[in-house]
Amino acid sequence: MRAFGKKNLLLLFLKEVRQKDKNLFYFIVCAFLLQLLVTFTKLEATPFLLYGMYSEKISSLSIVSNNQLYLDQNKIEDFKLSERQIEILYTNIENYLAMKANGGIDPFKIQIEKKLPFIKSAPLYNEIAKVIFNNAEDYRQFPQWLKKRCFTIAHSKVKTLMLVQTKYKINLLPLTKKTLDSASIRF
Amino acid sequence: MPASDFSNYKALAYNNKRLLQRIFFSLAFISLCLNYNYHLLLHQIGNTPLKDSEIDVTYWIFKAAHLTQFILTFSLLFDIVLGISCILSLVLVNQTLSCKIFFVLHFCYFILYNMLAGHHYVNVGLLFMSFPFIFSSSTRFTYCFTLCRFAFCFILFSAACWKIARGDLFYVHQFHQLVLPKASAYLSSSHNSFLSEIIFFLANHVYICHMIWILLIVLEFCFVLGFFSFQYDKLLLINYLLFFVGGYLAISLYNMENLFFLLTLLPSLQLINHFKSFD
Repeated sequence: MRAFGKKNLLLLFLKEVRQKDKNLFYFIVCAFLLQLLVTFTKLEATPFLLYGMYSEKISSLSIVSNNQLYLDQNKIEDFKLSERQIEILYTNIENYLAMKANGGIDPFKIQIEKKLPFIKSAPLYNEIAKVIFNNAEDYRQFPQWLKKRCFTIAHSKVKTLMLVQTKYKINLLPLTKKTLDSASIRF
Repeated sequence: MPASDFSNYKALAYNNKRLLQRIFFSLAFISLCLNYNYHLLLHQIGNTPLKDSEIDVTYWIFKAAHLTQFILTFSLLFDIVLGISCILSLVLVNQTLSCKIFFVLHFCYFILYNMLAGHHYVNVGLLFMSFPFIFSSSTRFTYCFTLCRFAFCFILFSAACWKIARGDLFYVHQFHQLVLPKASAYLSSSHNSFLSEIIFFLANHVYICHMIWILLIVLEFCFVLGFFSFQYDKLLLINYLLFFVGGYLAISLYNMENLFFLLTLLPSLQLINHFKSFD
């Protein structure tokens, strides 16, 4: 065990910090325990994060969904925006659609109430939930905000904003795609 | 021997604190400029009504304390002070006040950016790496800098563990399913490039995708070596660069801020030590 301690860089580091800087050592131990706690409870408290990105299995249906925003007849991508700017717009729209699918309720509120059912009866929960989760008012404001935002960043006097959602089935060898379903939402 | 390697590493970090501060904040300033160019600073993103707090206590505290709305009201001023604190930390290396301001403001920026972007990205490199510079004591700086190296190794190693624990190593379709949306997007556009050809090839070959997936997990898993010795740091540096380039090309995995962690690896410190005469 002692030989392992001598060979292990992390233990060597901790041992030295404990000797030379007690306060930092306690800080490191607390941070380490917090990281362990969030890892085992699968909850996050930034900067103590779970690094499980892309680890959840994706079912192999070969079906791809695609959202396309149109300002009048033009794709949003035609308006010389950065890739990240466009990504932010689409991510926000996806969050809005997820709320829409839940009848205007934040999916994370539903998720936490399902995971911890007793929380609903906790005092002040409703008041706190209204602040920490997106509420019905935020949901109602989103289409108007999206319209304004798109028109501002596109520097264009466009009249309509439309989202076309398309589902494709991808076939391999040769790679082709077939439209399965398409729907549009006007904001 | 880890003990002598550790002494060597400590000496490199300790003796090059000022130069490391200059390099780190120069890169941080470039990162801020890139964010400005891509319209990603707080005053540029747009104050969406749907703020993504997910199930994260820190985001809840920000919202409950009305910090989010307060900062967003003064977003332009916030961005200016963030930029100025970065420049001051880069120019005036004998003080730590600006570094402390930068650390706090960048933490707020990290939270608010993720909230407004609608997704919690784990690009924590810049955030973690700005932490050691808040200390004026070179000894404490050295320990915190070393701690960042361990955090970097932990992030990558734990990412591999999550994938292995969830059975992804033998799940043939995982990486293929990640490649398909990009392939689908290329199919819709008339734009043909070398990259689109690679993506089409990967989309057509499920097993090659799976081999790349295994390789990526192995690259991540190798970071466990960082807990035992510094002698593999060159390998870890190459590993991360391969991981970064592969992730970006195949699935548009964009985590440029995490490149800051590379400063903590031994070859980077040795290289910086060579340039010490310019400081």
